[in-house]
Order: sequence, then C-alpha cells, then structure tokens
Amino acid sequence: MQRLGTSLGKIQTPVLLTIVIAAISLLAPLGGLAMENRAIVMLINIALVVGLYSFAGLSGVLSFGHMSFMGIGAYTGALITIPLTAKSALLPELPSFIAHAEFSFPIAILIGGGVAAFVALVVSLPVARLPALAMSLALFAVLVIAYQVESNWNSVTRGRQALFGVPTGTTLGVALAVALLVIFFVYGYQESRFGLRLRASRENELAAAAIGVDVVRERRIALVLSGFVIGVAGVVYAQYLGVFTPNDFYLDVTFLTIAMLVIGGTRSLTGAVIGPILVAVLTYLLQRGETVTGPGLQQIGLALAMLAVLIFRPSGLSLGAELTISSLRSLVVRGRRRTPSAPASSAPAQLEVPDEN
Amino acid sequence: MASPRLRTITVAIAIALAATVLAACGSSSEEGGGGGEENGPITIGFATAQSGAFASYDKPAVDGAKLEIEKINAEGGIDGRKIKVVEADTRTDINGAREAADEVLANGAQFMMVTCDFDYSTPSIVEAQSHNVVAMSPCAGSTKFRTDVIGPNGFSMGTGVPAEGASQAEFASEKLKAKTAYVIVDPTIDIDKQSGAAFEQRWKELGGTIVGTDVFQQEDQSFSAQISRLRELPEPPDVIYLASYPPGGVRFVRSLRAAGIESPILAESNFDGSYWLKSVPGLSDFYHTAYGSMNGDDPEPAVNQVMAEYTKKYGKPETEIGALSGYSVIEALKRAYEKAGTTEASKLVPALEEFHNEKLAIGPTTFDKLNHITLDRPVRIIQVQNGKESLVGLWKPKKVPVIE
Amino acid sequence: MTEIIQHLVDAAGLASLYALLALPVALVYGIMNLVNFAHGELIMIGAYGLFIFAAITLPLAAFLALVIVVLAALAMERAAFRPVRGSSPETLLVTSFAVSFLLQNAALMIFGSRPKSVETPSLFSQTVTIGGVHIEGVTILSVGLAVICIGGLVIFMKRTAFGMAMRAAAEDFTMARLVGIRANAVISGTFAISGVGAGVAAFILVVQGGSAFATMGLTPVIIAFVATMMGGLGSFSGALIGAALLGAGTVAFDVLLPTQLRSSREAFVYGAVLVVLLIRPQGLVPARRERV
Repeated sequence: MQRLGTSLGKIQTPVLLTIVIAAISLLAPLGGLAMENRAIVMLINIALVVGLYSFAGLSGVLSFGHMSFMGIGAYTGALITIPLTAKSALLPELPSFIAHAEFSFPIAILIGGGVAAFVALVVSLPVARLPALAMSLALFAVLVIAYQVESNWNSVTRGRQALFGVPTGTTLGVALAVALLVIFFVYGYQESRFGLRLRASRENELAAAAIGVDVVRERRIALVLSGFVIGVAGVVYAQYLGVFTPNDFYLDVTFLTIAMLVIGGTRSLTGAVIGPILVAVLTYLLQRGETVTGPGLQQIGLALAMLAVLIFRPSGLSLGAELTISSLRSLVVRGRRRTPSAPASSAPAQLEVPDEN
Repeated sequence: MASPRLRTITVAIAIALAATVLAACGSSSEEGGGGGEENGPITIGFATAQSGAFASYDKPAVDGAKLEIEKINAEGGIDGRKIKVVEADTRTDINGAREAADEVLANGAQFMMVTCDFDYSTPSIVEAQSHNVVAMSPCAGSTKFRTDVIGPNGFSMGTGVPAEGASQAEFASEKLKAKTAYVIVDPTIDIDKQSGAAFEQRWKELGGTIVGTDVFQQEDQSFSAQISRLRELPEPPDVIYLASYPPGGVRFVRSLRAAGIESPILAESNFDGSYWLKSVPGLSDFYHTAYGSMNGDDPEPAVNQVMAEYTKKYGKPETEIGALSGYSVIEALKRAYEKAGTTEASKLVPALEEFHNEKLAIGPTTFDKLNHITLDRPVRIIQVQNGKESLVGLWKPKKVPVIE
Repeated sequence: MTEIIQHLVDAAGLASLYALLALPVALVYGIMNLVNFAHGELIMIGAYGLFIFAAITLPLAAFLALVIVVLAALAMERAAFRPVRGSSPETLLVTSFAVSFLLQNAALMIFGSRPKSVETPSLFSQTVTIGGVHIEGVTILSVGLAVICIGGLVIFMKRTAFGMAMRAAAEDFTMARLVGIRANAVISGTFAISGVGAGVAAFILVVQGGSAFATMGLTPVIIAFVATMMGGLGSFSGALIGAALLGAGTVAFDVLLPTQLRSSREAFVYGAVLVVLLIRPQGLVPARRERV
C-alpha cells in the first residue's frame, strides 16, 4: 500500500475519491431507477460543490452567488440543444443565431461552461477587487440579478415559466464522467502554482500580498474557473431534468450547495466530495423518516445537520484534510489494533451484495 | 498525518457506501412498475406536493381522490380490481417531482396523479410517459396540457384558465354593464399571464375598451406605483381584472381598497375560498371564478354531494378546487378503465380522449387528440360583498380565446 | 407637481419600511460581524405572533407578538450564534442561513403554506388626501414608526450606559471587553433590539398585507442585506442612507421604466446596487475601522 501511495504520488487524493464515487455509482442502479436517479443528482451536486470549492474553499471568500453560473450554463446548454422545430414553437422570438443553433450534448457542455466562465470573467473584473465580505455579498447581488434576468427575459428563457423539451442526455455514466473530470480538474488547479498562491492568500491575505501574490488576480482566475465548472454542472443538470425554471438556480440550491460544502468541510477537496455524498444519504434517510413524521423532516434535518457541523466541527467532517493512501493505511493498522471489524478502506469489499437479478 | 481526521472521512465514506448498498438492496425488491400487471389491485401513485407552496392545493386533491377510491373499493373495485394507493412528496420542487414519480413508479404505480401546476408536474409526467403510465394533474389550469407540448400521457382535470378570463369578460360586460377595463397581471406564474390575455382578447371582442394594463410582482413590498398609475386615469375603470394569487394578490387588493379605488375587481379561481377574506376586511365588489360552491348551494347536485362527503370526512376544505378535481380524477380513471379494460397508456389514453362533455362531479369534461385539458367548462362566479362570499351563479363562456 | 410630491411620499413610505428592516441587521453586524440572514424569520415569527393573538385587542396582540420576537431573537443568539461567536463573518453568515432555513421549514410544518389572515383595524387601511396628494395609512404608519424607532435608538445609544457600552463594543469589541463591558450582555441586548425592530417591521407588513406566511421574511431580509451592504456594513447611518436610496430607487424605476421592462425592475435595482458597490466597495458610509 505504501508503494502504491508513492507511485500514485500527488494524484492519490483524486484517485481515491474516484474509487469511492465509482463504487457508489456502480452500486446505485441495483436499487432501481429511483436510486439511479438519486446517484445522478448526487454526482451533479459533487460537480457543483467541487466547483464552489474551487473558488470559496481555495480563496476563503464564501460565495452566495455561484449558482447564477449554474443557471447560465443550464439555459445556454438547453437553448442550443432543444431540437429546432420544438424550439421555434417554444420560443418564437428567440434571436436568430440561437434559434438556428443545435449542438450535440458534449459541445453544449463546453459552450455552456464557456458562457458561464465568460460571465464570471465579466463579473470578476470589478467584483474581485472588493474586500472578502463585500465580495461575498456582491456575488449575492449577482445571483439576484441573474435570477431576475432569467425570470423576465421572456423571449429567451420563457421567464418564470418552465423551459421544457430539453433533451435528457444525462445518464449515470455522463454524470459520473463529468463529476470525475471536475474533481481532477479542480485538484490540478489546487496543486498548481495558481492554486497555491490562492491558498496562501486564504491563509493570510496580507502576508501573501507581501510575498508578491497578486490576490485580486488569483481570485479572478478562481472565479472564472469555478464559473466554468459550475456552468458545466448546470448544463448537465438541465439535461438531466429536461424541465426547469429560474427557481432551480436560486436560493434553495445556493443553500443546499453551501450546506454540502460546510458539512464536508470547506478547506479540502475531499470535504467538497464527501459533503454531497453524506447529504444524499442523509436526505434519503430523512425522506424515509417522513413517512412516519409527515413532510418537512428532510429540510429541517438538513438545517440541523448543518448547524451541528458549524457548531461542533466548524471545519467540516473532513476537518480540512485530504484523503491519502498513507493515512488510510495508518487507519487500517489502528483499526485492527482496536477491533477486528472496524470500518476501514476495505469496507466496500466486505459489503458487496449478491447479484439479485 | 493526524489520523482522527482521516478516520472521520473514512467512516463517513463507509457509511455512505453501506447506505447505498442497503438502499440498493432495499428498493430493488420494490421494483414493479409499469402499466403491465393486469390482475390484482390497480395501483395509483400520488406524486403530489405534501410540503411546500403547492401542498395546500394538492392535499385536498389527494383527499378528494381517496374519497372516491374508498367508494369504489367498497363497491368491489373497478371491474373487480380494487385500488391501492402509493404516495410520494414532490416538496414543490422540480427535481422532487421527478423523484416522487420515480418512487411511486418503483412501487408499482399504474396510474399517476401529479401536482396542481403545469411546470411542476411536467417532470413527473415525463417519467410516467417513459413507463407507459398515464399521469393526470387534478387542478392545473394551463392550456399547455397538449399532446404536442407535453406528449401523449399527460392530462389535467382542471379547467383551462382562458375559460375563467373569458367568463369574467362576458360576465362583466353583460351583468355589470361595464365598458372600460384595466388589466393587472402578476407574471409570476404562467396561468395568470394566460388568463389576463384571455380576458383582454374577449373583452375587446365584446366591444369593451382596455384603458390600461400594468404588472406587479408577487413579492413587491409596496404597490404605490401601480396605484398612482391607476389614479392618473381621467376616470376610474368600470372593472379591474386582476390576474394573480394569494398572498401577493390579496395584498394588492388590500392596497387598492385602502387607496380608495372602489372599482369592481374580477379575479380567477386562485382567490377561491374564504380563508383570505379577513385580510381585506369589509371587501365589496370583488368577483372571482370557482370550480364549485362549497356552501351546498351549487346548481349541480353532484358538487354539493362531493362537498358534503368531503366535509364529513376531512372537515370543510379551505377551497373546493382540489377536493372536487381530485375526486374527478378517479372518476375519470374509472370511466376510461371501464372502456379500455387496462391501465396501459396505449389503450387508456384513447379512452380518455373519447371524453366529450363527460359528466363528472367537476363538470362536463372534454379531452381530444390535441388538448388534454377541458377548455370550455362552465365556471362559477362567486362574489364578495361586505366581506362575505356568495354564489352569483354558473357561467358558461360563449367563446374561449385560444391562448398558448 | 403634485405628481412628483406623490412619488416622493410613496418613496418616503417605502424608505421608512426599508430603514426599519436594515437598521437591526446593521446593528447586529456592528457588534458581532454577523450578517443575520435569519432576521427575516424573526419578522415571520412576529407576523405569526400577530396572527395567534389577533383575537385579543390589537394593541395587546402587538405587544405580545413583540415579546415573542424578542424572545426568539434571544433564543436564536443563545442557541446558534453564541457557539460560533468569533468565527469568520462568512461562517457566521452561513450559520444564520441555516437558522433561516430551519425556521422557515418549521413554520411551513406548523402553519402550512397557505397564508394566515390577520384582521387589522380599518384605521390603517384608509387614505388621506391633502392637496391632491394621497397618503396611505400604511405610509403614515411606516414613517411614524421609523421616526420613533430610529429616534428612540439614537437616544438609547447616546444617553444610556447600555447604549454607550454597545457603541463601544461596535467600535472595538476586544477593547470594550478589556475595560469591563460584558460581551454576553451587550450581544444579547443587541439581539433584543434587533428583535424589536423585526417586531415593528412585522407589524407594518401585516397591516399592509393582512396576512402571515412562512416565506414572508425572505424579501425583507434581502432588502435589509442590500441596504446595509450599500450603505457600508457596520455603519449605522450608512444603513439608513442605503435603505433610503433603495426605497427611492425602487419607486423611481417603477415610475420611469416602460411597461415591458417594468417586470424586470428588480434586475435594474440590483444592477444599480452593484454599480454603487463597485464605485465604493466599502459602501457609501464606510464603517470607521477596517474589520479583518
């Protein structure tokens, strides 16, 4: 194991996370369609939260506005993939360059992400100059503006009414691939010079500036990259739902993604990945519980879980650490010393299910 | 490496994996689904909002549906097949609507009742469609329930909202002898735009004048700008058509009256029920449409009967829309099933499409190959005078504009 | 001319309401760097309080509702914010976000999603006309309560020992503690005052709308947020100026925008806010010291 850790070297964290996510994705379809769809939503949430992490986690500036990029990605991706005939019936007043555009799903993902990144760039020009808290709030204003534009630009977005007829190209495989690519992409950024500079500014803005880090520029880069990632996740989400309204990219999803990041831990990629996984499990269990208690338990339980983490474990369940092989190994050794069957890295193998079909 | 941190992560991941495995095993056995099974009970799935904003519409609909289900089961079922109910909560959320549909389908739903709104029921209908199951919304009023928009398997038992706008235009022109109208639309939801457009069009056809139009937002904290514009008119309009819904719409009515604007107000069935009347004390000259009267004085005996049964079982509902339409969803299923002999969509849809002024508790119901919602059903006009509701009567619109 | 005066009167009414929303948020931020997103839920609690006690006479109901809001504000501080006190402003903000989500959903569970009607005396639903200018009862109420509350707060902060302790704490919390001001007391007191503000705002909103519902705190808190941000976080007078500008701006866009664009009013308002923020990142009236 130690040797494996050395040979994987710096990429062991994303590789281990890949194993975890892939295992969940392979097991989920055994639970039928409902479970498979839950897994897809979880994977999209991972992409969203990792995207949010690439800005908020690495820079230390919490953003209340990133889901605006999700909406931009979703609308862009939908508008260029809805079949032409359906589109002309649905949105007769669409500007012609969009009205005649029809792209395949992979291209739409890139364009959607690209447009979101471009908007993020425009937003970043002024916003990245603001001090941290003002920046959080300015990004919130961006969210409100994006929501209002989506809600009222009737000829392009159908306003507050649902945009429907979006091709549903997102399968479990697509969601898995996107989530994994996003994880490797963000990990690569985190370990690059740019990521290191940004993290330095997170730890101490003044000290980082003193050693020559251009904090504004680094934040700007992070904003654009995270905008791209979240835009991509938005396209994939839109192509999963097939129907959406501006409300799907507003306060609820903002709360949900921030809750996931906080529960997992804002200061590590591992946290950004396990947050959505844990919230998916928690949501599932709470929904089961609702059959006993009546509706509403899910939202209340989630809020309580988030408060509990904030109060008792402010740095999240990951405590800011990354998952690595050497740490797993020490864990196995310790676990064996305590009880023979402690949950450890070998847990997935022990829990394999007999094939039911 | 400090291992307590990693232990947390690993334990968390292990729990997640274990839960996935358990859930996977747990629900794979539930997988039944589809319209396939032809023996045993008919399973109806309620993918409706039990929480969130639409719960207040959907809950009475589910209760109304259960009322009819119990009656059917007491009589031995539909063609000898009893009805079984499975339920899931959409949480008034688009993805939730899809998840709820998945869940009731996994639990074997062969027919689905979905939430009371076009946008929020679409994901459920799409899922139903891919399982060859018919889905019906009890009271969504959007005219978009069309086969070329939503596909073959989606229906709504509601009344297309242009019928409400058109009825109000005819009523105001004939009974209130109004000549000028002012139209105020809250564009937050689709049906308000549709009903506003239908009113405007019908009003002009009847020779009336539209002296102004305006918009406000459901969340607005003050309506002073809209009120100022109304005041600037040379003389107050004969009627004001208000396409909105509570609570924002009620706040708007309250502000209008507080500002001393006393023109009669015409509104949709969104304002049905007396629960909001206390918010505008002493309100007069307010007219809204409704699906039926709750007070036992409806011209249709069937409506009075359903309302009496409902009230006996669940207490008086806040509005009758859900209760009546939910009840009629099951009536419609029963009639169509008796013709089709199956819940399979390929046969059940044509049976439903044969409905032509089919007499259900909710009123005459018509579906055809294009429209899966009744467009010209008569509405009730309810008036509010001195803070009290009373029935004006049944209004059968003479012409309903086509609004898309 | 009367038209312009009319718009000014409308703007004054809205600005007063916004000031009552923004002030408590600014006050709490000044003391403990918390932008309290759950302030909206205090307003919601106040409105439900009025609904519950409305059967008794209104003055008593208003008083009881106020007591409940203040207790809720104190409980909120004790249960959720005290344990995370001293964390970064972002963490505090997220905590308040969670509290807000929790309370909103709890209210949905208890009261359901349909709005609850609250009967208020017709006294407030009348309009006075002076020289062609119409003044609504709610406008008079908003302006009156705003003047009383702001005036009362200024006197309280300047004349009483507790108020001075609050000002000292807002100036420099650590220093204030060193000279013997009790942190818990000051913070609880500030939350109690923010509770009073929320209760008063709830009263105006209920008089204006006649109903209480679970999500009613959302729009007000966003307004409060934006007004304080625009005015300069932590600055008392900044919050007032921000609220006034936001109220006036909303009325102005409503009056000036053509009908087709009117439904996009909010986008224009928030766009303007963003512009203000970009020109003056610290707000119009920056707080006296840089908070790190």
